[in-house]
Amino acid sequence: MPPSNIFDADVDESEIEKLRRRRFKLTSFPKHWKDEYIVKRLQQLKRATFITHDSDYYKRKLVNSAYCLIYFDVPRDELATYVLKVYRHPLFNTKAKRCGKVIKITSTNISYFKVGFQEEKIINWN
Amino acid sequence: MAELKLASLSHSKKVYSFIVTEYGQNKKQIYIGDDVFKLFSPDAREVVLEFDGHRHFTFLPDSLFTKGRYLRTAYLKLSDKGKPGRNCLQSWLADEEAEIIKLQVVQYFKHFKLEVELGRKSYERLQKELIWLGKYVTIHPHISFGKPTFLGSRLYISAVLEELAMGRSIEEITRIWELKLPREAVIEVLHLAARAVNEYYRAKYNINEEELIGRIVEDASE
Repeated sequence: MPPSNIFDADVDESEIEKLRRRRFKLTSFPKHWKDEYIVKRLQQLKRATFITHDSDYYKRKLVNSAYCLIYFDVPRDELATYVLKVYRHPLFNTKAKRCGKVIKITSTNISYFKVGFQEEKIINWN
Repeated sequence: MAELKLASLSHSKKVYSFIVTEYGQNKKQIYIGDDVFKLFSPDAREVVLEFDGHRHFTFLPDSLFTKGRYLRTAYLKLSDKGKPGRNCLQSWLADEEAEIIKLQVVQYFKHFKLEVELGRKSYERLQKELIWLGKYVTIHPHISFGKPTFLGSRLYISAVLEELAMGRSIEEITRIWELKLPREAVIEVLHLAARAVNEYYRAKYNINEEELIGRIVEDASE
């Protein structure tokens, strides 16, 4: 089965290596894919999670029940720490819970859009 | 003809990339050219074909190669669910949006990794849609949401600028993203950024450069 965690082209290689050491199964899409093809592929994959630093992915329109988009608005060299934090969070610790959400992670809080809900939800890390 | 480039050289590993220019019947075959074809031999038995970042083939059947330097597609022996696999390459090529196939041939202790780039039609179409900002920086309306990116990658240049602002060196930046780009590419980003800052603030505060120069010349002549 292909890895369901996909990182974007802008993610630091050393952070990916840190996650791989933690037995995270990660993969990436070819670097020159078009945005629409990325979204299309995410819909085809089974409950994939796309990890990015690109703020343009944090859009209500991109919410889809087939995948999860996580935009990390954190320093690039702290990505692995925050990915682990998110994956341990009670709201996002399973694929089923993550799917259908577009999530924004900052050092202070988590905000997300969810399938079926128009408004943005903001929660604190605690 | 397939265009072959030797991307890196080491004793055990060679990476080749080439552009697919011809397809066989029903897109079940791709023309791989003389240079690439000679890498294969009847001794090669284990082949891994990767695309979309996933492995699709793990075994090379005898019938994989034909005499015409066409690489035929193979079927997965069994899918994850134990059912016969589909013709992955055919569906991949039919889509015309996917752009890289990685083909790894294990021949005794030699590993060859082939990167097949997108077909000529898709390649030419992509070239037409690109807006060139410099030698290495381009804009494509459908890549990274129209942000300026490095040619052939989805890495937007603002990410590089942020890293430079954090105090990282150019060498570190090219290493962390495994950019196959020279130092000049990052320097070009800095030049573009400098120009963009000037233009952005002039536009923001309605400062017309030509009008300003005209006024300065007038003042000086008086």
